[in-house]
Amino acid sequence: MTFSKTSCVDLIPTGLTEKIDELLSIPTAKAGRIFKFTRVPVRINNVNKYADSDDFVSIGDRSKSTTLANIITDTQQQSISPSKLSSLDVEIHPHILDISLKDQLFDVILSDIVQNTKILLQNKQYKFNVRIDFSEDREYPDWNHADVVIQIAEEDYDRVLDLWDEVSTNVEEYFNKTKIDPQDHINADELDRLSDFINIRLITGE
Amino acid sequence: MPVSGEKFLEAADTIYKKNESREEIYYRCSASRAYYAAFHVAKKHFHLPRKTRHITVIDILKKNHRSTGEKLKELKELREDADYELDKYISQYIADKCIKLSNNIINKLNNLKT
Repeated sequence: MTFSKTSCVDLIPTGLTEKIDELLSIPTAKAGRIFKFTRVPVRINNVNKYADSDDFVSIGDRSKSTTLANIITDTQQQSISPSKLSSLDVEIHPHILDISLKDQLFDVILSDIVQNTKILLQNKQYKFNVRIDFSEDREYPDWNHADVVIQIAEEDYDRVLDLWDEVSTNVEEYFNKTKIDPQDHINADELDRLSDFINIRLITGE
Repeated sequence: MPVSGEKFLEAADTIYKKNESREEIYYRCSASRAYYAAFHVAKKHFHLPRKTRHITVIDILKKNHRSTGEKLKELKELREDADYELDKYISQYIADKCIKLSNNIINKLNNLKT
């Protein structure tokens, strides 16, 4: 799909058109933020779709079009469910973000896990960084995972391994609790599938 | 003569410690043996058939003890780097990490009830 300036403007609620005109008129160098993710949800004729920044290229250059795409995303939060995961302050592999936009249960569960893990590590006063990777096995690519990668400032690797146990026990308890106290008719098989798919990794600063 | 999985870890440790010249190839061999130690102990622990796939062993271990399964997956990836990624530098630190991971997995398995 390709959007013209007019069709894009049609997607935007009244009041934002001036912002877009302003964006399109400024020089490229000042065009604003570069976004991590180019796939964005848009709503056209009451149908939710995904658009790449390339879809907006006809409007102008890439940085302007991604900025515009983001404005559209921001304005659509009332009409479509945005990814909860993308609102977290973590780097996310584009494929994982894509899954989270399509699979709401995955989005909620992975977001909860990331948030719970952050709280646990903050309480222990660790310096850490979290990112979410997508990993595929070399021999069996279908055996793939959403890796919650926790880079921790701890030189003693034995301590890192103990901390790994704590983090993963926390994750396991979260899944068990969700199974015992199911909300919104969550299917136990779906939870098992997500439990297998989500993988914790603790790495040091090497 | 049969050998136990733990013997692979002893070999990994010996290769690591005797590498006085700090040659990368021995760190690679040590990392690789450390993985197979944990893999064989896990496979035996769950009484799995000889031809069980490595990913199946990891899945079963993860279902029984989440972090230990995740650690075996980590170790498997480090082993594959050591054996296949010849342009990637496998440091002493990585070999040491593999031995610690393997030791940790084996200890956890010994404490797990079948």
